[in-house]
Amino acid sequence: MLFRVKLQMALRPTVASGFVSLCVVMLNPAANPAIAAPPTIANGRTIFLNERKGNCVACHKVPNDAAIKSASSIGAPLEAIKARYPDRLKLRDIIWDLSKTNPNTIMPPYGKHRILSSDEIDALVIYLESV
Amino acid sequence: MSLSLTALSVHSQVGTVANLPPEQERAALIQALQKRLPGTRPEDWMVGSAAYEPGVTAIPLSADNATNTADILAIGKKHWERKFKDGKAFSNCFPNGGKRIAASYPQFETSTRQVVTLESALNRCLQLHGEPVIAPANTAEMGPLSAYARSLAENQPLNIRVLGPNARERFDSGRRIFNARIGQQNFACASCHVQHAGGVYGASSGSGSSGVGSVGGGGLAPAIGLAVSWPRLQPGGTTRSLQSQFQRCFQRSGAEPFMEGSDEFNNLEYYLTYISNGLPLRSLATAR
Repeated sequence: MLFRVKLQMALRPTVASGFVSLCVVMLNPAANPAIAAPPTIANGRTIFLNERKGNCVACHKVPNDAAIKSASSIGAPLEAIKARYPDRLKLRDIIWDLSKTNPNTIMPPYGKHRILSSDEIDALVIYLESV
Repeated sequence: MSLSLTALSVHSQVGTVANLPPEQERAALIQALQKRLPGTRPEDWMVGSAAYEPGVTAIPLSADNATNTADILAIGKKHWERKFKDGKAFSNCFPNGGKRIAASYPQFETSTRQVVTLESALNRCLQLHGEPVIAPANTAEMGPLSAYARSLAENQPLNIRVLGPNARERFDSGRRIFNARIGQQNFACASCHVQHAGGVYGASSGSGSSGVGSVGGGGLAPAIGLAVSWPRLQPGGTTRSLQSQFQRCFQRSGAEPFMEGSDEFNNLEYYLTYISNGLPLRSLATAR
């Protein structure tokens, strides 16, 4: 059953335009439970593929993971990650909230908006380092 | 759980940074989209990803689809032609008996300062003649009825007007919603349909121990052309309205959607249809 949390619901006209804004976010923790497993490549890969988790495959190709067939072209292909991000924390920060450094990004802020747990992001980092 | 999100913050990477007047807005969007999709024109974008995806020229109108289209229009025609209790019918509510009127909807109504969609105009007609209204989300009745009303304007160029400051306010409201970041995923409509228009989202599959990758995605259709072909024919012969599609996008973004027929979605439809002005209306198209 969908569990909705209405975090903020505000109807307020702005001074300039009378625009009515509504801020409601649906979270679905029941259908999207944290993966209670240690950060491993396999778990990270699962999160990468899972539509209710990272769903990273919707935007990124993974040229070095032959089992992943993707025509996605929104994000950059993910390869040579360890060479591109020798500092693991930097990669983690990107997954946590890329909009902090790139406000125009379409990439969801996985950590900041609690789409993934801290452990799940760690698993994703480990998987990405392996491809 | 505490999480504070500003769900509607203005997207800054599209051709709608400033509050441009409507016609300048349309021109800026055409320019931005042509930059992303070189060699294509607005006329191409109304078929969605068929404009740029190799091998996809259009979803073919298969025999099944043709049958479904004919069936839906036949149901719609029946609704359209039925006599109300007072002996009138829908054709009595619109100029020219309702022919060639759909391409001018949504309209801004000065007296109420509201946007009137074709669906709300049909319901006003029902109210005027003492008939029960049909919920915009009622795909069994409103879907075929609006499809038929639109079919009476098939191929008419969209001609949405934004005249005066009050209409402009509604247009600007629609633009803000279009450009606002929403929901847990933090997407804006413009993220997909301007910033990444033509990109491929979700057309992937992967094998994993328990993970299942996205399947059945495709090219992201440009913003211009998005409002041309509604309602859309769905698998199984049902219809989907434009505002139902808005709801789907909101849900995909992890945001609770507005209701079909809400001021917010009416304003969004007003904006989105205006920027497609000049493109020919299509009813029940199967383009993607």
